[in-house]
Amino acid sequence: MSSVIEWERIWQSRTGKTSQISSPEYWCKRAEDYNDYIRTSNFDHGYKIKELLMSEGLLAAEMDVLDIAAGPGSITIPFAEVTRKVTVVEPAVEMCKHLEINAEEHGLKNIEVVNKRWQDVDDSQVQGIYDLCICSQALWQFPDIVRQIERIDRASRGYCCIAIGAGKDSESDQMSRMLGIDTWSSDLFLCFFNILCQQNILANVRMIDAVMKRSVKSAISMWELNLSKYQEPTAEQRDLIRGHVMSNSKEGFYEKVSKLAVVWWPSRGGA
Amino acid sequence: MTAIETGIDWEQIWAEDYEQYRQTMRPDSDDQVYWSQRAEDFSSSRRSNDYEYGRQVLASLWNRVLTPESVVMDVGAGPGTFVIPFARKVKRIDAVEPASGMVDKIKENAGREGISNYGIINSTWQDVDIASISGRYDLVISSLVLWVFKDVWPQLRRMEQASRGYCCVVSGVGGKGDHGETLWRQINPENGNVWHFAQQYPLIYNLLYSKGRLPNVSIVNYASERSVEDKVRHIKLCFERRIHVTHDMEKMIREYFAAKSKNDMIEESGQAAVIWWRSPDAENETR
Repeated sequence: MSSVIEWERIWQSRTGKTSQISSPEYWCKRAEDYNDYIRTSNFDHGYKIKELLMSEGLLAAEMDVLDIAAGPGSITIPFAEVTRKVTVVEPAVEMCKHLEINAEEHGLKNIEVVNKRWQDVDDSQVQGIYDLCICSQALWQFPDIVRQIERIDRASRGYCCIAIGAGKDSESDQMSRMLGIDTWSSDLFLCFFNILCQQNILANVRMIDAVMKRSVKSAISMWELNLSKYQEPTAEQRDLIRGHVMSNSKEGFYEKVSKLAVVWWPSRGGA
Repeated sequence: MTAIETGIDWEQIWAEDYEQYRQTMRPDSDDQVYWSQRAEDFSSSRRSNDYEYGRQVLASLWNRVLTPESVVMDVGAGPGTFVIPFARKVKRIDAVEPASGMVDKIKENAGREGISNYGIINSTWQDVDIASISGRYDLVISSLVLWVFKDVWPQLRRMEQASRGYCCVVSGVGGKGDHGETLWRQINPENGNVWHFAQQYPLIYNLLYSKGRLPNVSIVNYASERSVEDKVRHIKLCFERRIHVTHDMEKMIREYFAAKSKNDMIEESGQAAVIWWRSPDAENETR
């Protein structure tokens, strides 16, 4: 019975609309507040994933890594510190600019930035050339999930890794409902997990605590821009956002801890 | 959207799969009698490569869940699959095992290894008084046992209640193409796949997640071996739970394994999902 559930279709229906309206232009607008989040959080989940994968023997000095939808470098920066090279595929040019500044500040010269959507990368150019392909908190951008997993898998000669939010995020869900934002893309982990199983991919899973710490200004921008994907925020909604952020902030910072599932498997053509 | 919000009732799916699976068996088939009869071949398989299956599971939990100070309970311990390799490393392990044949094997295997930091509760898990062991163990683990429970969630909750730390379920993921399935299809092609429910992964994961748990998973690989005679006995007993095994069928099984053997031994390899999570009862205690 459980094997006949159409998880791929469920994924598609839950991510289709959200992914469509979250364009590179949207992420360019979000670059500043997102960069503030990553920097203020001291690249928290990136360093935690790095430690985890190193303890599993999946990251080492001679390795080449592909970071898909890298944003301002939440994964790229920690990983570039311990590997030979990290290639970044990031569609939002403003995110790339922040990433380059972050790399420079960390003294890293082993990062190559490709300003493209992952979907537009030529498979024949990247087949089996990375020891690790990683995509963190961006999988929901791909409604054609099975095809993208296959492409990620083919690009790796070693391992693939996906980081994706897990469990209920009551605070965000409540806020999204109050603003009338589609929450169907939250907690996609179980759907993803079952898709992997149906693809006969046996994956390892670790649940880690990810810290999101950002300035009040960054948090307000996040909610307002998120809402603007659906509608122009009204004055009442702006007040609601400000009130929510302020009541969840301390000393000028909005901070929350949520669960992130780190999922990895040996690529079928590689390890 | 969580599993609950998808409207999927994983407990119900489990119960339906369980019923379907049990219907492939004779009504008079008794789990404890079966496992006592299986004690010899199962013990031989689990002992092979110095308890490789148990050692691989132990390694996946070591330093994350287990330390030398840990006290462990193994639910449905079989011939000492975990008791022997775990007892070498942890403070103590208690085995819950209802089949007398398996209990004898635990004692025999422990004696052979000079292991004494273990205990045996000769009982079904359902009959263990949880109040008397509440919060006593750092890890409560169970391997390939859950399929005997139609009411799997209450039994998992009982594991959580017995734990002051973690719970772990180990589920086979080897799936298709094993010897038993191949032989069953040859002997009895019209009667479906009797191995289906024994592969509980990822059903058990979905159930745990739907109950608010966030389990971790490690995939482990292991190899084992047993003699042709033990393997024939294993498959014959397994089939006899469902059909009358004729002389000709037994001959076919024997010839099948003789052809696959090397030095009269059958080598097998498998994969298992080690699923572990923090018991919410432990979380409550530390608050």
